[in-house]
Order: sequence, then C-alpha cells, then structure tokens
Amino acid sequence: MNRLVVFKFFVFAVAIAVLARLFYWQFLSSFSARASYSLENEIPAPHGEIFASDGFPLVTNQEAFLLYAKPREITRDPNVIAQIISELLISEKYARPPSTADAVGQATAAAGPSKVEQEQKDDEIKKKQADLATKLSDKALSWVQLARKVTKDIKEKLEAEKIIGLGFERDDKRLYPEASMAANLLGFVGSDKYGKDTGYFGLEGYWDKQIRGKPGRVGSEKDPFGFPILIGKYSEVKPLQGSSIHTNIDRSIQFIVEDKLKNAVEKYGAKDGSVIVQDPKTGHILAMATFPSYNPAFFQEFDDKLFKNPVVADTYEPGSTFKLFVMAAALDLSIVSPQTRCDVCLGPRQIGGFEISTWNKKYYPESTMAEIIQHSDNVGMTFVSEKLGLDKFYNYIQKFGFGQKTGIDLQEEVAAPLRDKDDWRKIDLATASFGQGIAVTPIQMIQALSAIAAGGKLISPKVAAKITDASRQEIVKPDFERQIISPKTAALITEMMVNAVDHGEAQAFKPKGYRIAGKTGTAQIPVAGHYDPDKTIASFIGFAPADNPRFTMLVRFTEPASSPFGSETAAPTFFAIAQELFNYWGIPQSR
Amino acid sequence: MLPVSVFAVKHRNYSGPFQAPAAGLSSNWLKSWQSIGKVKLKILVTFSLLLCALLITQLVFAANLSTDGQKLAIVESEITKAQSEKANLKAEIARQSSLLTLSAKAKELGFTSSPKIIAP
Repeated sequence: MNRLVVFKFFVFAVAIAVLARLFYWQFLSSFSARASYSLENEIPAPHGEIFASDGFPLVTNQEAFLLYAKPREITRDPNVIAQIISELLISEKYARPPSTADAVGQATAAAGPSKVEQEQKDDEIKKKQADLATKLSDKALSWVQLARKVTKDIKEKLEAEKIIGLGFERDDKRLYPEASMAANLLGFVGSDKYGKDTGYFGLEGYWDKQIRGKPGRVGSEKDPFGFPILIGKYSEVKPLQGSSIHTNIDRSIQFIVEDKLKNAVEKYGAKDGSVIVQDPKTGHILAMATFPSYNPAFFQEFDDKLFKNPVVADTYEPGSTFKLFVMAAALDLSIVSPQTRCDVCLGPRQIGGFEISTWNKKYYPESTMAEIIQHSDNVGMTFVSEKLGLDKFYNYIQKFGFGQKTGIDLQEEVAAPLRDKDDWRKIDLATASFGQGIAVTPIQMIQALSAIAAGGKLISPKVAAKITDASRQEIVKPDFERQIISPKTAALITEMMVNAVDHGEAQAFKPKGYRIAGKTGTAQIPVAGHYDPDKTIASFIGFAPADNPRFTMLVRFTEPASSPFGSETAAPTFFAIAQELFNYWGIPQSR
Repeated sequence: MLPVSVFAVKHRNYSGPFQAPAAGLSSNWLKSWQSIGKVKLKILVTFSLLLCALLITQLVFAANLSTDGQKLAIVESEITKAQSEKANLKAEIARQSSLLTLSAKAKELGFTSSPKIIAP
C-alpha cells in the first residue's frame, strides 16, 4: 500500500478525533463542566442601618477593608514587613483616645495610657507581629487574610509604606455613633463559622435576615490554572443592601435613663441594674438600659456574659410588685372590692407548714384591699389569693402574659414558663401572691403593668416601629392586643397604686405635684434551696401621669449593697427618671 | 437559442484551448462578453468597497465602544468614590452629633443641668 496514503489517512483520523473531542467539550459537556471553567466571586451586601425614633442612626456602616497578602509576590523580608504593620493592626482600643465625657476621661486623656495598658499594648503588638511574620513567610500560600475591618486611615498608612504583595478588599464594619448606648438592645455584628457577618443578640440578632441584605455575584471564566480570562464571559449581580430598622427608641430618654441608672448602680452598690420605659398605649419601647454594659464596636474585648440582655433573658422573683396583678384579678372577678376587709391580717399565718409574715413585722387588722397594697402586706395577699383560688389565679397570671414570651423583637427573649398547675401546693399559691416562688422576666412585668395603665388592654411590646428598604416600608405591629381586665378594674388598681406612692414607704422620694401610680418590690434571692435574707432584687414599677399615662417604667437592681429595699433604691431612681421625663415632655404638675 | 453557425469557427489562426474569438464572430457577442466582464468587475469592486466601508465602520464603532466602556468604568468608579465619601461624611456627622459628644462638649463649655424647669 502506498505509505503516503497511509500517512494521510493517519493524519486525517487524528484530526477527526481532535475535532470530535473539541466538539464534545465545547457543546456537549459545557453545562456539567461549567464549574471547571467558571469563577464566581461573592460581593458582600452592605448591612441595613438601625435608627432611633428621631432618625438618628444608632447603628450604621463605616468604610473598612480586608487586608490580604500574596506571599509569593512579597519582595521584602516578611519579618520587617510584620514589624512595620503590626502596630497598625492591633485592637482599636489602643488607638482611640479615652472618652472625655467626664473628668476621669479627661484626666486619662491628658496623662496618656497607664503602665498596665502600655504593657498590654506591647504584648499584643508582639503577638500580632509573630502571627503576621508566619503568614507572610509561607510561600505555599497564594493569598492569605491578614486583618479584617481595617479602617480607611489605617489603610492609608499601610499604603504609604508601599509594600508590594499587600492588597485591600472592601469589608465594611458597623459604626455605633452613640458608643455603648443601648448596647444590649442593639446587639452586635460578628462573624459566623464561615466568616460571614452575622447579627447576634438584640435587634441585630432578631432582624438579621432582613438587615444583612443579599450578596451579589461576579461571574467570569477561568483558565485551567484558575486565572480569570478577562475577555471571556462576564456576569454581575449587584448586591442588595439590607433593610433598615426604624425603632421607637427615644434617644434623649435613653440617654437620661442610662445616665441615671449608671449613677444609681454605683451609688447603691448593686451588682447590676435595668430600666425599661414603655408607652403603654402602643406597646412601644422608648428606652431600655442595663448597667454594666459593653461597647458593641469592641465586643470581643468584653466578657460575653454582658451580651445577653437581662431585660428579656433573665428571670427573677418579682416580689411585692406582683401583688398588683393578683389584686387586679380578684377585683376583676368581683371577688373583692377596694373596701373588702382582710380578716386574717392580725398577725403571721401558718400555711402548709410555713410561716407567712409581713416584710416589717407590722400587722394591720381589718385592712382594706387598698391598705394591703399600701402597706405591701404579704399576709393580706394570702387572703386575696385564697379567695381567688388556684384555677382563677393561674388563669389570670397567664392572661397577664406571664409564663410565655411577649414577642418583643429582641433575639434572646425567654419565656420563664410557669410550673404546671397540678404541681402547685397551697404554700405555692400563698407565696406567689406576693411574688415569691414565681419567676418572671422584666419585660413580662412591664407588659403586664402597661395593661393596667392602658385601661386593661394587654399589648405586646415592640422596639422596631418600621422596616424600610429601597422598595418598601413595613410597619411593625404588635403581635397581639387584647382586653384582659375591665377598664373599671384598671382604674381601681391605678388608684391603689397612687395611694401606695402617696402614703407608702417611698413617699419621701416622689416628685411633688404629680399623680404617680407605682409599687415597690423587694424579693429575696433563692440560693441553694433557701432564701438569702441579705440578697435581694429591689424593684419599682409604675406609670405617670396616673390619669393619662405617658409612660410605664420598671427599675430593678440586683443585690444593692446600701439597702436591700426597693423603696430605698429602685423607687428614688424611678422618681428621678420620672422627673426628667416630666421636664422633657413638658408635663405640668396636676396638683 | 442562437443558431450553431454563430459558434462556427471558420478560420483558426492560433492553437490552444483558450483562443481569442474568431474574427468571424459577431462583434455584438464580443461586446456583450466584454461588457459582462466589466459588470462583474464593477460588482466586485463595488462589493469590495462596501465591505471595506462596513469593516471601517465596525472598527470605528468598536473603538468608540471600547473608549465608551472605559468612560463608563471611570464614571462608575467616580460614583463609587462619591458614595463612599457620602457614607464617610454621614458617619462623621453621626459621630459629631451624638449625644455623647454633645454632652461632653456641653460640660467643657460649662453647661449644667437646670435645677428648675418651668413647664406650661
């Protein structure tokens, strides 16, 4: 056979085979092989903002960058580079000046960092330097992250060093213009296990799905070595900014509340304190503060025990403040009236093998219901609860919202469930009537109190007023609104509360000329199966003006050292804040 | 159909496959054959000129497109810069107008809480 013909045939066959394979890769397997030649990069979406009721941004976004290195492209000595840049990449707390909001801050700013702080700073620089040197020296890496959330001024300083092999990507960070104000309410944005920005606690945690937005994508083609083909196909999906939350928080009231709370906790030597201010007619939360708190911009530097908002996540025994709801139940069912007299209030009572006595060992025989509230008489309350009976008692405390979540839009709310009714003994009914042996959260208390202030209507509390984004606006409505006691009952209880403020143990502290409805509470803390007489939760709940309430408020201190009683710690704090609120809203005296 | 005699060659003065038409053929046919060639040439030239014109037009548009693409990229970059600047200014305004800052400034200037406030 002609060798030329054979050779021609062979070349032709090889050409056909190559063409066939090319045809296969180009047309037949293009979809399944897309992953091998397409490249998709995610474009992070900017988070939505959180605004106060006056439109001021409590949480917004600040331009920041991710610093990366390409170790293979670095020409300088990695140890030298690490030395240059490490000081710029340590925690911002060493860079920022101390707050000059008070004399201590001003003195600190003038004196410079303390010796301990300087040592901590030097330690951190050394650790950072070692970490950076390790990453920069690893030539096996083509790309390595060095730092996240680097601010623009730091970026400019790094760029001025003109280090080849370093680069930046946009990586915005959260900015809190009011620093630690409302920190427990707001929460913070951290990273999840995939390194993506995620909201934790408070509003950031609850509304995370809406706030985080939708990331965009940039699709391009890549060669077998993974390098993008610049003239290839290119597709882009723009990122969608997250929705913004407009809250009911009044910035001025929040500021007043935080200032008064901080001073009070320090004055009374309490472990911690909380204050909630709510509009009873709408359920809107106007202010919510806890002390001690943290700065969400530097949350990594604080004890994580501070992140949980105790207003929604901590349970406590409410003590005498709970008497209002038991009395309201009895009045609503007409089991008692304000003039009903207690025929067991002669002295301490024995119930179920336990002795029930008053807080000050004083007894008022034939007290009226109003006087029982005024004197905060535990024995009198057992009289009321016995008349009520367990079934009706249990039913009404559930109606008031106890034992279930309020539905407030904060991530970490707990329900503080009630014990099953069948497990209640006679002594449990007796002690629960004056707020011991039953656990509640502060937000449940303020919700129930607001029902009394709002003429008997229970409304679920909400922090957010509306959610907005580029295309829509959604009003946040309460989860429920229901009438739980009659307006007449609400009015009767209100008068009892006004009487308690005017003639009770806290009367010395109340602002003159105003009708304030309120009740003190001093609950012993259970420790290892018994109550510690020296450790109390001191609280005061109330609303004003009594005839047309503008606000309800709860003040609570844990283990105040100066005095265990709510009348001497929580009540004065309540009245001090109330006076500020009267001035702020221009509410005139009514008496 | 033309008669066969038209194609008859009475006298050949040359040899080879490609021979000039015999002097005996009608001049009309020759002229028409030659004019066909001219028309074909004209069509060819015209078509070529058209093609060149289209190519040049396409080149001009492509060049403009590429520069427009660059202009677009510049404008988009300026928009991004302006948006970034706006965000930074917004953040700075928020910082300066925060109650924390205002309270500190008020204290520096000597402002204190009023002991009495006259309400309406």
